[in-house]
Amino acid sequence: MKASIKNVIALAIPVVFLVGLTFYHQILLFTQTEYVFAIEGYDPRDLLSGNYIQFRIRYDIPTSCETYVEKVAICLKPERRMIYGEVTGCEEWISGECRHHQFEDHLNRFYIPQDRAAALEARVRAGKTEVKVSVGKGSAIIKDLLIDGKSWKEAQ
Amino acid sequence: MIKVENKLQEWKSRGLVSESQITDIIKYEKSLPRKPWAQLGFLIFGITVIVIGIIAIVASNWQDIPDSVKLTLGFAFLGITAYGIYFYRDSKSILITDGLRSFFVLYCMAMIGLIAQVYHLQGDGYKTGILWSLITVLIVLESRNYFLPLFWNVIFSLSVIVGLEKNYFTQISSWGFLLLFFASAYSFFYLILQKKMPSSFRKGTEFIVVTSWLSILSFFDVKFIDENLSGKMFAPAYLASAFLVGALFLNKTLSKFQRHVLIAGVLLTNVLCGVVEYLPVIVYIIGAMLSLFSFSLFFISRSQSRLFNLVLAIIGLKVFEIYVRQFKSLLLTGFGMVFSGLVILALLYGWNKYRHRFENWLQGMI
Repeated sequence: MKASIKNVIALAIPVVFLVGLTFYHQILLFTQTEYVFAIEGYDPRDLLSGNYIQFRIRYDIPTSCETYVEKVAICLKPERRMIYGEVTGCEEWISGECRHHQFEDHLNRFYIPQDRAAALEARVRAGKTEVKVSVGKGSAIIKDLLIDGKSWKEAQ
Repeated sequence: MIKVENKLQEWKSRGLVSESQITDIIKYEKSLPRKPWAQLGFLIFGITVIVIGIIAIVASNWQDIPDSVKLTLGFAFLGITAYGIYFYRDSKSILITDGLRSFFVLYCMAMIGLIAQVYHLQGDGYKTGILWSLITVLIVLESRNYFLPLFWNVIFSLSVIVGLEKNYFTQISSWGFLLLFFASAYSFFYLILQKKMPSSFRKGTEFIVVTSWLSILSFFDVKFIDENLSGKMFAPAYLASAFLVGALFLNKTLSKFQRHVLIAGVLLTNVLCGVVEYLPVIVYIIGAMLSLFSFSLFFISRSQSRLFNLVLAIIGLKVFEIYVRQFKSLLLTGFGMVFSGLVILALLYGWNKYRHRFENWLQGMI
């Protein structure tokens, strides 16, 4: 293979992958159904992506697992329930796994500016925050953090 | 060149070559194109520090800039860098080609961080490391200098090790003990048996010996500090290191300078492991960097460019660790890293200009 074609392929792979990753998540945000969940949490720091609030979503159903199971999901439509293994009879759900006997949905972070971290964390701890999530068939992306029903950017 | 000239003088003193032959050989050697491996190492090290600083600045959350603008600018810069690599692909200057590739590869990591921030994604760090390794491997393979592949190997292998540890091993203290004991015992038997080993096997063994010592300092110390473990549990490993130091004193194949810097590196590593619970974290990290610097002097004295570049990569990560632990603000960390990278590049410029004076001084030591 010519050296120039090899160069192009080597450069294209990371660029195409990163662009594809961005488009994938953007399309999910535009096309999936929005749900609002209450949350509870704490505030660590991610070295790569900045400060974030870490929380756990309250699904209003029991989310503890008796044993370690790889495939677990929480169905949201038509009714909220936990599903083990293959998902059947559910139109929209959030996929996850059981870790330490608890459902892990990988929807635990919301990145925020460093100077707002302490104040927002306090609101989360006080239990006055919610998170807006775009949910599809297994996939879910966090859209916004709500404080007293408004986006965190608008909240005082 | 200094090594060649010294060897020629030695041969001349034994009547093996004449003065005119020495002149012809030196003239030929000077005409050959040379890979400035040490300069490349520092150049890429400086670029690495700058890019890590940019990552930290990106990660400090630019509240006032819309996500769409951040992503657009980020990808535009990625595209420009990719085009620059393609445009200069046939350049004879390794500094340009490998410098651009290093920047691009590290910038990909910055873009992963930006995408994760914009879409609030999360995942285990080791998965991000493996993902980054997979998408950049082809570019790294095109590198003409060994520094970037070594840096890539460090990230990839650490990601794999962490993944194995998270999924299959829960006692990090046992890892630390096993690694120090392994490094000491393996080094001891290597020194005893090295004269009987075939050349290629000896080189492979040397690499494992070296990377096991570097692994202790570069990776396990972070877990060691954060989990508040005690140095007393390393006692049997200290005993193995004592035998190693004894073997180093008795080894005749190394020069006095090489033995001294190796012994300094080994002793400092053991001392740090033993007193880590009593030291401030920053002091421990600086101590680890000094130990690494000892090993780097050894590699320079033996012209082992690959291992020298590996140590530089690890020292670079330590610089980042200092800033992150010292400054709670990622923005300050970012600017600090960019400044440090510029200082390194300035030192490299100075080195280029005054290299010969330094080499004459170093020759007197080595």
